[in-house]
Amino acid sequence: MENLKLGNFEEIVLLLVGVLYNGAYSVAIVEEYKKQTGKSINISAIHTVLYRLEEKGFLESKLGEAGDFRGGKRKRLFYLTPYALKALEEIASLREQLRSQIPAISIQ
Amino acid sequence: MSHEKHFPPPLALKFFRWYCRKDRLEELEGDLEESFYTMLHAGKAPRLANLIYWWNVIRCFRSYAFKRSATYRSTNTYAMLTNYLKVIRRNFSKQRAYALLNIGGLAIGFAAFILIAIYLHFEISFENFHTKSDQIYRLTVHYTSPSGYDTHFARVDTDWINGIPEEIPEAEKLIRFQNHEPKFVRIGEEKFRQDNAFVTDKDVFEVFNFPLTKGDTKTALAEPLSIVISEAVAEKYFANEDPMGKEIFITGYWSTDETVYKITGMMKNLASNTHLPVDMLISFRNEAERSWWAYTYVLFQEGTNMVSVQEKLEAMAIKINGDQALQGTEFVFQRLSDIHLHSNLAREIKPNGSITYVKIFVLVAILILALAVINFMNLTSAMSIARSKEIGVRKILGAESQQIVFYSLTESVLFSMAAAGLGLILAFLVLPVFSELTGTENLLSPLALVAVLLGVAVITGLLGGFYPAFVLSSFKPVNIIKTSKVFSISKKTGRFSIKRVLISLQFSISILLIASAMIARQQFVFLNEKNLGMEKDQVIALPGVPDTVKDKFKLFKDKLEGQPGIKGVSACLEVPSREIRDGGAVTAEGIQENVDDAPSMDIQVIDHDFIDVMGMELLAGEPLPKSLAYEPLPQLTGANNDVEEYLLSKRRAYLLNETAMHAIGWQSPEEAIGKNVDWNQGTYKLAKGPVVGVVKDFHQETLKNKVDPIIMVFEPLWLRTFLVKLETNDVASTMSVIEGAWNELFPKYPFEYQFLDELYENLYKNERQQLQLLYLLSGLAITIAFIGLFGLIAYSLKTRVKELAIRKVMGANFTSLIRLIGKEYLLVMLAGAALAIPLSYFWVSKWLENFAYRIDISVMSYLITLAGICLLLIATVALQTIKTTGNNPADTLREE
Repeated sequence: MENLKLGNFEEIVLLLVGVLYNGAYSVAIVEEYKKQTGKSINISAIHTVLYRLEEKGFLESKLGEAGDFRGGKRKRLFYLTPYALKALEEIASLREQLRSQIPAISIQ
Repeated sequence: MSHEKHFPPPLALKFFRWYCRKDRLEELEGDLEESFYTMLHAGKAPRLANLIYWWNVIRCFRSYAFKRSATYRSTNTYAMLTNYLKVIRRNFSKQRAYALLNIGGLAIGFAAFILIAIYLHFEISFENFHTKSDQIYRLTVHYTSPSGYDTHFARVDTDWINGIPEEIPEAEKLIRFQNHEPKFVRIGEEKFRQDNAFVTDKDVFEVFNFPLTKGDTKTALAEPLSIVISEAVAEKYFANEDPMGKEIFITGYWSTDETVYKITGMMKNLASNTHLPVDMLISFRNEAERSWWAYTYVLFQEGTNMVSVQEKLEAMAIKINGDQALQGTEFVFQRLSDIHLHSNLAREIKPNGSITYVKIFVLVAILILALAVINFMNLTSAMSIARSKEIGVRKILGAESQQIVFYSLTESVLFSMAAAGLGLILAFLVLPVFSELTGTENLLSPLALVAVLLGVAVITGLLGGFYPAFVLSSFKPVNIIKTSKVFSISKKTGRFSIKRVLISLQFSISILLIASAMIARQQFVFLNEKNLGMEKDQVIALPGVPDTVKDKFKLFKDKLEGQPGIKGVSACLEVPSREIRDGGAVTAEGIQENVDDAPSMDIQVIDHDFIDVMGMELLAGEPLPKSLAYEPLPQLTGANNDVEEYLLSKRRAYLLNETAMHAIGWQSPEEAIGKNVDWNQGTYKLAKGPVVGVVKDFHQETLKNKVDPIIMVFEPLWLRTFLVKLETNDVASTMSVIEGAWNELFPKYPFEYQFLDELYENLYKNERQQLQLLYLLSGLAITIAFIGLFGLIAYSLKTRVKELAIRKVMGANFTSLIRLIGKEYLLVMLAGAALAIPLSYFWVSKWLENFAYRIDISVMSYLITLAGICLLLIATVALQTIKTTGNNPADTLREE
């Protein structure tokens, strides 16, 4: 667990990449982030995290198609690596494990 | 589609392409473009979309988008630099102790440098908050008379100077600051004594920068009975209430009348870097009040030629007062910004600084920095010994001299920067103590400080690295690899190696500072312990009492005399410890009958019990006779020469001090007794009367000045200070008795007193501060010097381990080893001392010339300093020798 150093925001970006499977590139992630959380974010913040996660081995990427509005420039599509899937799973199970241990009384 | 007509702003795109790395340019530029067109598509205004595009480009200016410096990475220089840094880091951790010693010593030097920089900046920053400080001049007057009267006043007493702005075209405004005496303020039931209060002109805000936080500079002092107070005073008087429009009552200094003033403005507290501290400004009631003594400031036009102004002023004086106007009178303009460091006149508003001390501390700062740099040079070059093999290998692999120099300089600059950082922290840790010691406020902006420090650090690094860099780069690689021969302070390098010179310089500086501090200390002890010809202990003084209080002195005296704990009560004009500032010619029967030939003497007005209360010694005769009694004081207005008549009409008897007796020409006290003398100052004349006694010389003033001739006389009109001699172990309850008597007689005035011994101590406040500063600095100097020496000896011994081991095998014992090593350094130290002692002698005797009464410079101080340093040196050598040769010589020799 201690090897999987993932920040809160990094975790959310990983999840978004997973959600947008095969269409996960920066602009789409910005939009998805806004849709899911209701908060807007600057594209450069997403760029930073994406490249960092790729360096850490949580993401892999390839250049995709040019798409609309891009003036013929290709976009970089990101995919979760097995390592990322394992990390997300571990985080989720740790959270679940902890949550199940909260005494009922404190939730009431 | 509408968006096709629009393109992202070209300049933003250009900027983006410039900084963005090539391999990510396509995707990132695409992303930005997509966001841009999506916005347009969603119906956003093109202008807004442009703006957001710009914003994104700026936001993307981050590391992930930056060009990797591919070109740099591929060149050799970059690789070498990385390598240098790596090896420097490794060397640092390998010789951590020495490196830290090196950096620490330099850091202390930098800390001292920073503190002195703060002090200097403060001293030269005086009045710089007045934007017109270059155009403002203070008018002062210098009076002299043939009989020897010679006083240069910081203020002026002639009224015609009020016409300067009309008569001299260059003069724009003239501002008077007068009635400087403390004010007695009442607010409701609370009483305060207010210093730094002036009566001044309404235009004061146009000349000086006294920023008002409340009220209007144009109208604040326009009305009579208006008052402007500082924020600090406002808080003292009214806590957090708004002071504007409030009424305060001020009791006159010269009368019991209470006047009500209205607060019309509140000004920011002034910084302490001014010779003119202001807490309260009061408006004039009428033009007639603008009279008599005033600190007078004139604002001139920009670029005014002061020589021609001076001529016009003198012409003006003669025009108004006739040809005699300038006889014995000289008017001097002082530039506002010069006052603090260059002016030391009579009746300054507060004691000023001195350019001499500023110069001394600049010198000391340079010395200490030099010490630290020398240290740095020595240790750095010593540390490179261990690196000679590395350098050899680098050279064999093709490194050029230039590269080695660069490498070495990189290292020393890095070290120096680290030391600067450390020094900064150190300086700010001791800053509170330092500020208190020197009365300095840190007004230096942090940015300027860091900038200067950075500059000094780089220069120090380059200087410090210079010598080792060239020594290292000049090594013959073959020699280095083949033998273990390296340079050291040992005899091989010749008698006058740079290192020896540097070490002896270090010793010089340390000895100079320490010996000077010791002698300065002796002088200081002398000042405090010298017999003053009177007893200053257990005497309380109530200086500068208002006229209305003075009139009732006899009542006060009668009330207190005979009370338990009170030995005596007396009064005088100038409180002992303060210079007497009234002089006049004294004629003596049968010797000098003519006022013009008569010697000038200070006058001390005293009460009958003064000699007794002050514990002075009468050489002959009696104290003043009680028959000169207290009578109710006449109401004198100054009109029709009534003061003059009163003074002349009273019967007199006089006391002289020894100096006065000799000044007149009498050889012995007995000769003087019974002879008639008088005293004349201008129109004031005291009637002839007999000398009834001669007092042994006493020190009325600081020991910086010679004892002046003093004539003492009884005149209740001129008493200004009450003195009470205590004789008790319970000072508190005696004080409450005195305070009770005061409050009963003078309910309008707060009871304020000072102990006489403290007043005398305060005379040397500046000297004490300087002494403490000198202690601090010489402490730093010796620390730095020995940090350096410690490291250096350690290193030099390391290179001689084998030699020492062989000596031990051959039978040398510990003492002889110490003698062998110590001798070398002892000689170097003595050479340093030979330089330092004459320098210090010269310096200290110059300083001692400030004092009329001073110690002789004793040889002992130097001997003690030398002995102390010798001891430290031997201890250092012994410690290092034990460390180096403590183990079995066989082990040492078997190595390699």
